[in-house]
Amino acid sequence: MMRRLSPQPLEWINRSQSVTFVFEGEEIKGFDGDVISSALWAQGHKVLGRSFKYHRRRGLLSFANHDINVMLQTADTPNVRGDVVQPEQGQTYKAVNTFGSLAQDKGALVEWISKFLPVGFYYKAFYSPKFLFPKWERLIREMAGLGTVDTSWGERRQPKRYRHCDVAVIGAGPSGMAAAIAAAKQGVDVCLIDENPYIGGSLDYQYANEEALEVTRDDLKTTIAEMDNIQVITSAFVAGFYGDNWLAVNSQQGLIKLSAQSVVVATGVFEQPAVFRNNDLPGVMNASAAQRLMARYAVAPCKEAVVLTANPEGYRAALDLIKNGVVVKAILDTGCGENSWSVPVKQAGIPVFENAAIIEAKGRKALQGVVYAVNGVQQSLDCDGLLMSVGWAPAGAPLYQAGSKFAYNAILEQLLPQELPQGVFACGRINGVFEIVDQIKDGQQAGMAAALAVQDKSVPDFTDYTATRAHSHSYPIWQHPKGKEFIDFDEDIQIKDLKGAIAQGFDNIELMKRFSTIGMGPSQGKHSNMNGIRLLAKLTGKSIDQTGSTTARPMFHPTEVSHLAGMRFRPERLTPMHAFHQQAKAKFMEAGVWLRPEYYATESSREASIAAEVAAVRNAVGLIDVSTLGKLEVFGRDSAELMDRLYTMRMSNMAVGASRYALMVDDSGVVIDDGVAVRYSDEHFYVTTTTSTSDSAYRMIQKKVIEWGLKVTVLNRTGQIGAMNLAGPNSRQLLSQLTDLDLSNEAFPYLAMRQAKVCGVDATFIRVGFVGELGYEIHVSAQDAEHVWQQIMLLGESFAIKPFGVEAQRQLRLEKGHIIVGQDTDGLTNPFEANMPWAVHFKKTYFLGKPSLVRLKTLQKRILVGFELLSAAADDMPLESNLIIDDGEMVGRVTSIGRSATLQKVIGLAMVELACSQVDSELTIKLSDGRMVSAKVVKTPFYDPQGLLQKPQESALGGAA
Amino acid sequence: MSTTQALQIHCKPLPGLMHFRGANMASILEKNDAADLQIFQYRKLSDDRFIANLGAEEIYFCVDAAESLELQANQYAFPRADATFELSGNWKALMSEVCIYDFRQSQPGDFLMVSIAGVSAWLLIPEADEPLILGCDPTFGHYFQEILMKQIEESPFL
Amino acid sequence: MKFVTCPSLGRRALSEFTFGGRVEKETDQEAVSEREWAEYVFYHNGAPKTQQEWWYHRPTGIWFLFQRNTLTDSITQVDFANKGLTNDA
Repeated sequence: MMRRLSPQPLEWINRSQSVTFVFEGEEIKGFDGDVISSALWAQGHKVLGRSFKYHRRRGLLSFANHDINVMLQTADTPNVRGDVVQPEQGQTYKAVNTFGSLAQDKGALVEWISKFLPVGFYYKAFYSPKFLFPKWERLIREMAGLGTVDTSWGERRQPKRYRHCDVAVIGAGPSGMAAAIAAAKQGVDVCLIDENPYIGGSLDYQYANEEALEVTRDDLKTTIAEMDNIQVITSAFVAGFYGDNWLAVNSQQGLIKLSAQSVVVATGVFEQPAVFRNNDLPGVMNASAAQRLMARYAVAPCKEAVVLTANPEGYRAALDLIKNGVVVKAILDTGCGENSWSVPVKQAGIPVFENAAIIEAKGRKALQGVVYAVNGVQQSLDCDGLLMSVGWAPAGAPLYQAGSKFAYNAILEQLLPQELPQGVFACGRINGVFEIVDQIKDGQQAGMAAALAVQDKSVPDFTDYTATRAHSHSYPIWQHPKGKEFIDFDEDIQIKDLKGAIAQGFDNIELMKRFSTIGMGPSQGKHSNMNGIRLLAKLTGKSIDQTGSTTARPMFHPTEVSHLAGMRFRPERLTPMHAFHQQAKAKFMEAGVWLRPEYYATESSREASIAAEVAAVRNAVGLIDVSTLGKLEVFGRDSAELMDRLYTMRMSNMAVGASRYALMVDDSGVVIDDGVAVRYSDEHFYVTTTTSTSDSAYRMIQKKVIEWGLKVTVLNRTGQIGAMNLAGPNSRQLLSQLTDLDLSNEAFPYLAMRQAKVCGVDATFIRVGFVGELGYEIHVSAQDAEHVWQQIMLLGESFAIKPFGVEAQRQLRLEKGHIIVGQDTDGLTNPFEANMPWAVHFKKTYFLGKPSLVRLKTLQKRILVGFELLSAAADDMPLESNLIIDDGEMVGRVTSIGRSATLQKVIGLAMVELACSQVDSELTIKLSDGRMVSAKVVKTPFYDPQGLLQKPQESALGGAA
Repeated sequence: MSTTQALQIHCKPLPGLMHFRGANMASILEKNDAADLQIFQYRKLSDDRFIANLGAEEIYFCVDAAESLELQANQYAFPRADATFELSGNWKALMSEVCIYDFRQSQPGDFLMVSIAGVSAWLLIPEADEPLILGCDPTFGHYFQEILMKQIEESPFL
Repeated sequence: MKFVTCPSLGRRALSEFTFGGRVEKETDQEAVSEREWAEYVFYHNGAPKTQQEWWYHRPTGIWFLFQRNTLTDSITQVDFANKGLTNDA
C-alpha cells in the first residue's frame, strides 16, 4: 500500500536515490530527502508511535518539527524525532516507550486503569507512605518515558561557532525571505535562519499548488541566492534568544552563537489541533501536516478525507487533496464561511457542511470514520483521514525570550506581539498577517526597519497588514461524555485532567501547567498551550489576556547535550621548567590553573619520595619551582605610597636592596594575600602574590591606583618571570659557583635582595626563609628560567641536590609554622587571628582595611596555634578541617597537619578559640569517623625556633619588625 | 589565497619582543617612523620587527635581539617571553570557533587584544592573504598551541 | 551574551570583562565613625537603579566605568576609568 504521489512541484525528495532502513523489524524504503515519518507514511504505516502515559497508538499530528508522536531509538541515539530526522541508510529504528513492540505494546494496559490515574495522581497518590515513593518513582519512570540512554556511550562534542551579523531573520517563509532581502538591500550583513532544509516556509507547502505565486517565489529565492550579504542557514533553529540579540542557533553541525544587531522574527504560527473524542487516532492530523506531507515528500495523507475547518486554510488543504487524487468526502465548516478557496471546492462538488461540529473520531487501530453534527443533527462518514484546520498559535518563543508581550486579538482570535523590544521586529503570520502579498510587504517593512536600526537611522511608521477576519476558532474544543479528548499529546492530557486541576484550585495558568503537566513534554506546548489557555479562560470566566500564558524558555526545540557541551576550553598554565619536571618523574597537581609538581616519584612510594625531598632540604640542598607566584612590578613617583596603602606593613621605609613580608587585607580586615616585596630603587618595587591571587590582586591594585589617583604603574609579570627557591645548608656554596655575587652574610644578609647575573643571565636574588633553611629565591626572565634551573641541578649533583615539590614545601613550612593564605586562613580570618600582629603597622595614616583592623584588634576571639598530636597510632591521623571539640562544643578546626619527618611527630596548625590557645592546652580533635584524639598546643616554629638555620650567625637586617 | 590554503599553525619565536612602559612613549614611536600610529595599531618595521601603540604610556616593540635600547628617564623596558605563533590559511574561520570577537570590526594594521579559548592573546591583524601573527603569555603557550591544533584537526569546518 | 561598545576597543563581549563592584567613594579612614565604616564595608542597597560600575577588560588590562541599569541590565555609558592610558608613570 504505497502512498507516494506523482512528483510534486516543490518536493524535497530525490527520487533517483533511495534510502533503506529498518523500523520495528520491517524494512522501509524511502527516498533521499525523506524524513523518517514521511518514509513510513509513504509505505502505508499509520501507527508510528505510542503515547507517553497510556501507550495509545499515534500517527502524524503536526508534522511541524515538534511531532512528539514519532520518537525513535537507535543503538546509539535516544529520541530521534521522526518528523525532523532523515533516515540513515541501513539504520535500525524502534519506537520509544513500548513494551514488546509498537504493534503489540503491553504498556497499553495502563489505559484500562486510567480512571484510577487522575490528574496529579503522581503528586498525591504516592506521597505517603514516603518510604515507598522511590519504588513508585522507579515504576512510573519505567512505564512512562522516552528513549533510553546507555551510559557506556562515549563522550560526544560538537564544536561551537561564533558568528556576527547586522540583521538576523528567524524563519524563511514568505515574510522572512522578504525581510532578509529588504534588509540586505540596505547594505547590511544578513543571516536568514530556517529550521527546514530549504527556505520557503508556508509559501512552499500551503501555496504549493497556487500557480499565480510561482513568479513571486522564484523572485524571492533567486534574489536571496544572488545577494552576497545574505547568509542562509538552513536545518537550524534558534534554540534560545538571549540578551543583546544573542541567538543560540542549533544547526545539525553544532551550535552557532550568533550575535545580531537587530532581529526579525518571522517564525510564523503553529497549527493547533481540534480537541474532540479520539482526536489522537492515527489518520487525524493538522491540515498543514497533510500539506507538508504532500508538498515536501509527495506522500498522500490518506485515501478518503474529511476536512474540519474554521478558516480558509482548510479549504486550501482540501484543494491540495483533490489535486492529488484524495477523495474529499466533506468539509465540516465550523464557522469560516465563504472565501476565495471555498468557491473552487464547491465547484469540485465537495459537500460543504456549515455550522458543523465534530463529535468523535472512530476507529480501532486507526481512523475509520467521523461522527459530526450539522445544525445539531448527528451524522457520520467513513474516512481514513481527518484534517483539522481550526487555528493558529504564535511560534512566539524568540519574541517572548526577547521580552515582548502578546495580546489577544479578538478579530483574528489569535495572540499577537505587542511592545517589541528595541532592535527586535516581527512580521508575517506571527504578526497576524495572512494574505501572502501582505506577508511579503510586512516582511519588507520589518527587514528595512531592522537594517535602519543597525545604521542608527530613524524607522518609518509601520503599515498595519493584520488580517481582518478570524483564522482561528475561538474555542476548538468539543467535549464528549465518554472523554478521551486530548489537549496535550505529549503528556496524554485530556479535558477532564485540566478540569480536575482547575477544580482543585490550580486555576492559574502557571499552576495548571505544573499540576497537570500540560506543555511540559518534548513539544513544550507548541500544539497544546493555546487550547489549554482557551479552556482555562472559559472555565474561569476570564479573557485570554487575563488568563495569560506560560513562559517560553529555551530550548525552542529539543537540543542535544553534545551541542551544549561544545569543545573543551580549559586553560592550563605550565611553568618554564615544566619539561624538566616531566623528565624528573614529577607527579603533577593542579594549583588553580597551574600544573605544579606535587612531588617527584624518585622513591618506592609517594611518602618516601616526599620524605627524601624534605631530608634533602634539611640536610643538603633542594630546589623548588615557584614560578607560579604572582609577580608584580611597581614603578613610578608614587610607588612607595602605593605599597604603603596596599599592605599592612610599612613599605616606604624599606631600604633599596631589602625585602619585606607583604600582607594584604580587604576592607573588612580579612587576609586576602601575602607575598614578599623588594625595593629595586626609590621608585621601583617588585612584589610577589600567592599563586591563586595573581590575577585578582593585580586587577585590584590597578583599580586602587586609579581610585587613589597615584602616579604609578603596576605591571603583572607573573608569566614573564620564572622563579625558583634554592634552600638548604649547601645552597650558598652551590650558588657561589654560578654567580659573581658576594653571598657572604655581610654582603648579602638574611631578607636582603640583590640583582646580579646567575649562569650568565640577569637575576633577582632574595634571601628568604619560608622552608626554614638558608635559602635564595631566584627570579629570572621566563626565557632563561629553564637554563638556570638545569645549571643548578647539574652542578648541584655534587651537593646532593634534589628538586622538591609542593608537598615537601608544605611540610617544611609547617615545621616552621608559616601559614598558607587560603589554607590556614579563610574568608573571615584577620591578621591577629593568623597570629601575625607584628605584620600590622598602625602608625601608617592609611592602608587598606585599617579601620577594620583597629576595631578587630580588641575583639579577637580566636587564634592560629601550633599543636602536636599526643597519639602516635597511624590511623589516628586527623585531616585538615577536622573539628576541635571541647565539652561537646566546637572550639576550632585543624587548618594544616602533617607527619614531620624531621621532628618525628605529627604537627599541625589549628584555628582555635582564645580560651584554649595557651601553650600546653589540650585539644580534642574529632576525626572524620567520629573518634576523638588528643593533641596539645605547642609553640611555633616547631623546628629551629630561633631561626638559626635560615640566617646562620647573624641577626636580621631590613626584615620583618 | 589564504582562504583556500590549509590552516596551519607554527611557532614563530619573537625573541626581541619588549614591553615598554613609562613616560614619553611618543618619542619611541617617532624615532621609528610610527608617530601616526593610533592606539591599538601596529606597524611592521622589517621582517620580524614591529611596533605597536598600546597607549600613551605603553608600547610593544619587537626589536632585533642585538638592538640596543636607549631609555629615557621614567621609561622602563621589560622583555616579553610570549608564546608567539604564525597562523596561515583561513585563520578567521578558526577564530570563529575559539574567539567571540567580531572580526568584521578589525582592519589590517590593528593590534587586537582578545580572549581566545579562555586565554588573553594579542593579534597582529594582517593584510588579506598574509598569515596572522599572534601571541599570549608564555605559561599559557602550551595550552594555546595544543587547543588551536586540536581545533584545526577535529573541527569539521576547518 | 551582552556586548559593550568601548572606546578604543570596539564592540566586545561581556565575557571578556570582570566585574569590579560599583563605584563608591571611600570614606575617610581617620574621621570615620564605627557605624559609617560598617555601612561602607557591609551594607549595600540593592534597590534597582542606574549606577556606575567598575568593569575590567582582561585581554587589555583596562578598567572601564559602565553606567548600568540594574533592573534592565542595559549599559548606557562606557568610559575609561582613568585618564585612560595617559597617567604618566
